[in-house]
Parts: sequence; C-alpha cells; structure tokens
Amino acid sequence: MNDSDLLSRWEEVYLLSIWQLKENAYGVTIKRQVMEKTGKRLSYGGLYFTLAQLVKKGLVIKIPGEPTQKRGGRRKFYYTLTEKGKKSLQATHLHQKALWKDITDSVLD
Amino acid sequence: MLKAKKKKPSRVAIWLLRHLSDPEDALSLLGDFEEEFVDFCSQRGRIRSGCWVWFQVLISIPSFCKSYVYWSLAMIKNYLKIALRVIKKHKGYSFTNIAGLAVGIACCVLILLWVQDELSFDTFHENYKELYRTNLNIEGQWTNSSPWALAPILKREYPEVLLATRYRFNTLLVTLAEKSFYEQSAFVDPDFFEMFTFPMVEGDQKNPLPTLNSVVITKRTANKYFGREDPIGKTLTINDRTKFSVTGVIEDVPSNSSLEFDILASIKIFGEETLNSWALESGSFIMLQKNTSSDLLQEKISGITMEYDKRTNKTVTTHINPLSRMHLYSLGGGGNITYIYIFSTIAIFILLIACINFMNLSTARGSTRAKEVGMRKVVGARRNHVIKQFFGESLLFSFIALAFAVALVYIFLPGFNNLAQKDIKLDLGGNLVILLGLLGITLLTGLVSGSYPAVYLSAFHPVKVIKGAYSSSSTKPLLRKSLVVIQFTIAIVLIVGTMITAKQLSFIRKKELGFNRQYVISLPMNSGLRESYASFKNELLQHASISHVTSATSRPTQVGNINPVYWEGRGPEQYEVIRFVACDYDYLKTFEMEIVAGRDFSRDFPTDQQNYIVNEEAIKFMGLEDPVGKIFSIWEYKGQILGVVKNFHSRSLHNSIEPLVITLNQTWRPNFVFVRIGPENIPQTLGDIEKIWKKFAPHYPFNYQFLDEVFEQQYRTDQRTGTIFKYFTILAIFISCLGIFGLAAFTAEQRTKEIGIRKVLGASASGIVSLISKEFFILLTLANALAWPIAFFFMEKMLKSYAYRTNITVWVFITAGALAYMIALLTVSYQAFKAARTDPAQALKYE
Repeated sequence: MNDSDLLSRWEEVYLLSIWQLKENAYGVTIKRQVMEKTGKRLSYGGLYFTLAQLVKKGLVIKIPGEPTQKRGGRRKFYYTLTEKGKKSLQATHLHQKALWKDITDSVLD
Repeated sequence: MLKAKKKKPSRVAIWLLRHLSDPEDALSLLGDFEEEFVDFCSQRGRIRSGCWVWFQVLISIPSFCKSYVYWSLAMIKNYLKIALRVIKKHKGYSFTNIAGLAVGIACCVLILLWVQDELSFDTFHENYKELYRTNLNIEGQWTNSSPWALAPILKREYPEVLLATRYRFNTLLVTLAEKSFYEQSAFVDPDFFEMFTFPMVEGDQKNPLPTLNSVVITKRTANKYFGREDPIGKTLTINDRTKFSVTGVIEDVPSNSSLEFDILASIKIFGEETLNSWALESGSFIMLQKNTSSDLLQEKISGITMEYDKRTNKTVTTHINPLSRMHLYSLGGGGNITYIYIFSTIAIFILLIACINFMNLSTARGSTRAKEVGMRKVVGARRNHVIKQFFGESLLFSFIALAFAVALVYIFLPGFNNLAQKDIKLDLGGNLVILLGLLGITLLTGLVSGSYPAVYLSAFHPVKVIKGAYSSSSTKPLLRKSLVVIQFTIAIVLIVGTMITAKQLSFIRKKELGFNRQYVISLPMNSGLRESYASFKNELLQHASISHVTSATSRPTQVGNINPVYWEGRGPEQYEVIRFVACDYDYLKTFEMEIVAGRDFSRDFPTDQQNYIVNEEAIKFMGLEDPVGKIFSIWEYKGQILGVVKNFHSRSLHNSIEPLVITLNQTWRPNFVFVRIGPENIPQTLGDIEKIWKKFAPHYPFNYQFLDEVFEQQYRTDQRTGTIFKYFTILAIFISCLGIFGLAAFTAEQRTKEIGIRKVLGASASGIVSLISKEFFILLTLANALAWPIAFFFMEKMLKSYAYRTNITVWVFITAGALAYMIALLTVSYQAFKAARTDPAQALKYE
C-alpha cells in the first residue's frame, strides 16, 4: 500500500460523512454531519475549501441537482464518492485496523 | 410578500460571500447558506439569525484566504513549469531574450551606480546640509574665487553664519631628503576642521595647526614620505625654502569630494595685509546655523563685496551656494548634471530596446502558444489568468536576465571605472539603493516586456484557436513592425551622435589655434629657477635643437588671469577687465604667433618693458582706429601699444576668443618656462634639457609636458563622454540586432512552406533572400526617416556648447543610415540564406 493513498483525518471524516449521507450529500447536510462527527464548528469557507481539494484529488465528484425555492433559486450540488474515494476509505480503514490490531483498550489506561 | 422578504439574509453578506469564495463553488455555497438560514430563521427568530449570518461570514474568511493562496500556488507551479519548458524547447529564442534583457539591465545598473556616485559628492560631511561656498558674480560673469576678507566678515557680522574658512589652493613642492614631489595643498582657517568631516588619525583634534609652520597631511602622503615611521613632529621642506613640521594626519580625501588636497596648512602664513584685502585670490566656505534660511542670508549679503571693496564701480554680487551642489551644477547653469540626464536617458532607451525584443519575439511566437491559451480557456481559465501567466513568464525571464546582468556588471565594472575615472564598487549587501534599484529595474523590465504579450495572447478566442484560425500570418504584425522601427530609430540616433561627437573632437584636434603648439615643452617655474632664469635660458639656447626659450604666467592654451585695463581716452575709473599674460621676451617667437601690426618686444628698446602687445579682439573691443603707439595701462602701469598679434585661441574651444594683452611686466611672476625644440631626436634633446634642469634646480622633479598634450587634456571630459557614448551605441545596435535576428529566424520558419513552393517553381536563392530582407529594408528606411531629424535636433544642441564647432553634414546621416542597413541586412540575410538553402522537398514535408 502506498502512503500517499492514505487519507488525512479531515478527509476521512468528510468521505465518511458523504458516504453515510448517500444520495442526500450536499453542502448543508455534509456540514451538519461533519460538525456532528467532530464536535467542532465548521465555516462555509472551510467546508468548500476541503470539498474542492477532494474534488481535485479525484476522491469525490460533484453532480448538479435541481434548484429549489428555499435556496433562492440556486442549484444544489450533490457530492458522491468515486471508485478511488471508496478504495482510499477502505485502505485507510484496513490500515487503522492493522495499526490497532494487538492493542486492547486497557493498554491505553 | 413581507414575510418572504424577512427570510432573506443580508444582501451585503451575500455579496461578500460571493466575491470571497472560489468562483467555482460560489453558487452552491450561497444556496446552502440561504437554505440553512431559512431553517435557522424559522427556529430562532430574526435577530439571532441576523447575528448568525455575520458570524458565518466572519469565520469563513480565514478559509477563503487559505483557499485563495492554495489555488494560486498550484497555478504558479503550473505556469513556472510551462515557462521552463518554453525556455528549454526554444533555446535560441530564450537566449536572444535573456541576453538582450541582461545587457539592458546591466547598462541600467552601471548607470545607476554612476549616478549614485555622482550624487554622493560631498555628502560624506556630517554637516553637508549647512555648508555653503561663496561665489561672486561680476557683471554676469561667475567666479569661484572670493575676496580674502570675505569669510571672516561673514562670520563676524552675520549670526546665521556659524563657522567660516578660507580655502586657498596651491600646488607646492614638498621635499624630504631625496624625495621631492609636487603636492596639492590647501591653506585654511582653523574652522575648516570643524566644518568638514576629514577625520584626524593622529594629532590634536582641537588645534591641528598650532603654528604658522605646521602642516596636516593625508595618510597616503604620510606613507609616501615617512613609510612606517610616525610622521608627527617630522619636518618637510616646502618650495625648497621653508621648513614645516607635521602636526597631524587625516584620512585620505574620499574620491567623491570636491575639495581635493594632500596637505593642509594655515592660511595665516599669507600675512595680515593679504588676508584683509579684497583681492579675489581665495575660495571661501561657510557653515550656517541649523535651520537657517539660506535664501534670507543670500538677500542680506548680496551687496557685501561692493559695500567693502571700493576699488571698483562694477556690479558685483556675492552669493552662497550649497556645497553639495558644487560638483553637479556649474555656476550659471549646466555642469555634470547634464551628463547624468544624458546617460540615464540612454540607459533607459537601451533597456527599452531589450524589452521591445521580448515583446516582439513573444508575440511573433504567439501562434505557437495559441493552442495552449485556447486549451487553458476551454478548461476554465479566464482572461486574467492567462494575463497573469504571461506576466509571470516575462518576470521569470527578467529575473534570469538579472542574474546574468549582475555577473556582467562585475565583469565590466573595472573597465567602466577606468573609463569614467571613478572608483565604484558593487556592494549588493550594503547598498540598499542599488538592491532596491536592481529589484525595481527587473520588475519594471518584466512588467513592461510582458505587458503587450500578456494582453495580446490572452485575447485569443478559444474556439477559433483550436479550429486553427490563428495561423502566424493572421497575427497582426503592425505593432511588431512599429516596435522594430522604434528600436532602429534609437540605434541610428545613437550612431549619428557618436559620429558627430567624434567629428567635433577631431575638429578640435586639427583646429588652427593661431600658434604652433607642437614641439613646445612646458616646464613648471620655481623660486630657485626664477633667480637663475637668465643663465638657465642662456644655457638652454646653446643647445643645437633648441630654438627659443621663454617664460610666462600662464600657458597660451589656458590664459585665465584677468586685470583691469584702460587706454587712451579713458581714465582709471573707466576701466574694463581683460585677460592678460605676463611673459619674457621671445614669447611670440616661441609659439610662432603672427604680428599683424606694429612689432614684437625687443631688447633693443629698454622701454618695451612697460609696453604692451594686444590681440585683434582687444583692438575691436577698445574700438581703436590706429592702435600702434596708443597709451594703454594695466592697473597703474602705463605704456604704449607696441603691436597687434593675430587672434589665437587662448582658452578652450568651448569659449570664443576674448580680448587679450601681453606684457613683459615682471610684477606678475612667471609660472612656466617654455622651450621650442626641433622635431628630430626628441628623447636626446629631452635628456639634455633634464641635465641642465638638474644643474639649476636640483631639488625639483623634471616634470615636463608637451604643449599639445596639455591642449588635449582640456578635452578629456569630452573625449570620455564620446567613448562612453560609443560603447552605449554598440550595445544598442547589438541588442537591436539580436531582436531582428530572432524575428527573421521566425519569419523564415513561418514561411518554410512558401519558400519551398517558390523554389520548386524555380525561384533563385537570391530571390528568396531578397524576399525575406525586403520587409526589414522597408522598416529600416522608416527608422532612418525618423531618426535623422531627432539626431539633428539633439546634436545641434550638443554642439552649441562649443564656440568653435564642426558642421553637421548630410554625409554623417547617410553613413549612419548605411551602417544600420548593413548591420541589419547582414543579420537578416544569415537567416534568409539558411531558409533559401533548405531542400524544398524537406520544406514541403514540414508540418
């Protein structure tokens, strides 16, 4: 496994959130999900900066949706994981499991 | 309706978000924002949601900044990669551009260093802002000399004047045992050391010149005479007569000082009577109190010389001028500042030529970049992205050029110093002005040379470009051609300038001066020799190769002294001042001057001692009908006009011939001995003269000069300017040629197919060459048409500074033009021949 394929913590959180939200992953929902998972406040600027980087790395793609009244007539953009995104998420998961394999919770106490 | 309006976030916040966020995601971001706002509104009410909006905007700002920097860096990396690829792929093109820019920047840096040095003159004195020199204006004529009594009176009577010193310059013969040299010396008042910053190395700071017979010497003089010994208390003999003891050593006078000396002595040695007189024989400097208006003082002292000096009824005004202006500004206008303007302009023009090369070559190659620009636009680049990219590229070029330019400056600085008679160093670490200057010049070069390509290339329409509509032939070459015309106009103006300067200098060299300056040796007179002059002269005349010997107050090429004169029909109160020479018999014979009326001085008439010979100009000036035998006086010395000498050039050719009188009166002591020798066997004759010299003046060095060399020295500044001008011209031509070389190469490449077809259809090689050269021929003709009037205008202005000047003939222009044609066509034809000689089959396969 190549090191560069490993995700950073933030990327991991974002990808997991998008994956969990399934068809309903767009700005507002991703933001809520990420805030819930991390317990930290997230700004729109920060949200879209990370999303743009994920798009550039080819981990997620943007799919235009339909405009709604509630959004001031603006189109929604849904985010969904690419194959590469899914693979990276799995690789990260395996890597972490391997890292923690022989360590039980009591060790840390 | 009202309800709907309530549920909108603040417009300002929306506007801010829209413009701060990445345009790519702006719309979905705003949509999300509004959606969450509406939810928030219905739950928490209006006021709290209003706060929420601004809070969200505020916490987003750091991320927006981070995002901006991140994406910009990503693009810069890409631009840099492409730029380096371009440089690697088109080596000839890159070399042409970088070489041109490097030479241009190097020129500017050299001139900047030079200007900085010139501007630094006399600013090393701590008090330089308060230091002033006094000058007199006598009926519109400026003089650097001040009356002896002026400085003490200014200090005594005007509270604004804090300190004052006289400054009397002399060349003194300084002897220590066997060592004997002429040294530049200054006699000064005690205030001198407080006013000027010439730091003492040894000796008493407070009172460096305690007695009349003490001297302060510079470090280098101390080394010269005493080596490693301590100079303090040692004795030097001055002018073979008086013993002086060294009481102090100061640092060497910096090269950017207007006051130059190696020895300082007390002015008191001249005696009270002289020091209180109003004779114009000394310079003076004053130091004002801090924050005093020099204009106010100027008004007060303007009439001071007339008030005290009752000997004259001329209008004399007294002036003070800042010391820091002394080097750059001549009294009454002009001075070195003119050269600063001229050379700075030329340096800027050379850099401009280099920038034009860059613009021309990058736009000419535009078609090769068109597809790239098209692709960038298709994948979402905006015009300002492309503009940024091309500016970035030109900046990269100019910074690479900067590195080469700095190397060039290091290489050529010694030669430049030699040429400009300077001691400039390139100290990149310690010279903030130069560092900023370098950076500024480079940035400016990058921006200027990138401006046109950036605007031009970024305007390409993506669809048309990718369809191939932008072939090289459809790019508009009009601007490119105009730029080539501008380049060559500048080059031709410089060629004409160089030629006319050279012509004027050779005109001066060949000019008939009215006397024979060849084979005359000039020797400095000294006190010992003055006493034994008669026997010295006799012994010299015994020599077979020596025809005449005479002595005089000044050289015939540099008659400077003026004295009041009056003549028949005028009393002493109606005097005029004219220049004069006091000399020995045989003056006219030695210099082979011509008598047009009356006769020369003769030993057969003892009264000739009181009589005068004047020049033709003086006769015209006095308006005398039949001058010979008329009464004429200098001061109270009354005599007759013996004869009239034909006008000769008694000063530099910048000035016209002025009235002049020649006298035998020995009141004015001679400073020079002149010996006319035969043209054969000069070294032998010189050796014999030296032997006789050693017999009569054993302690004095045999410092002989040929009069024609002295004459040439007067024009050293003009010659130096001419040489610097010449080098600049060569550089300008070189860079212009680099430009058209690249352009011609490009034209030939673009027309490969056309040339191939023409050759297949039977065109000759010479036909092809003329096809490519024709375009440049037309451009050069235009450049000539523009350059000639411009060059004429400036050269007329330059020649106006000479009273005697060469003509500007049509031939100069024709030669300069032909030269430009020749150089340009040679450059172009190399490329043309290369194109003409390619195999047409190869050419047609091209693309």
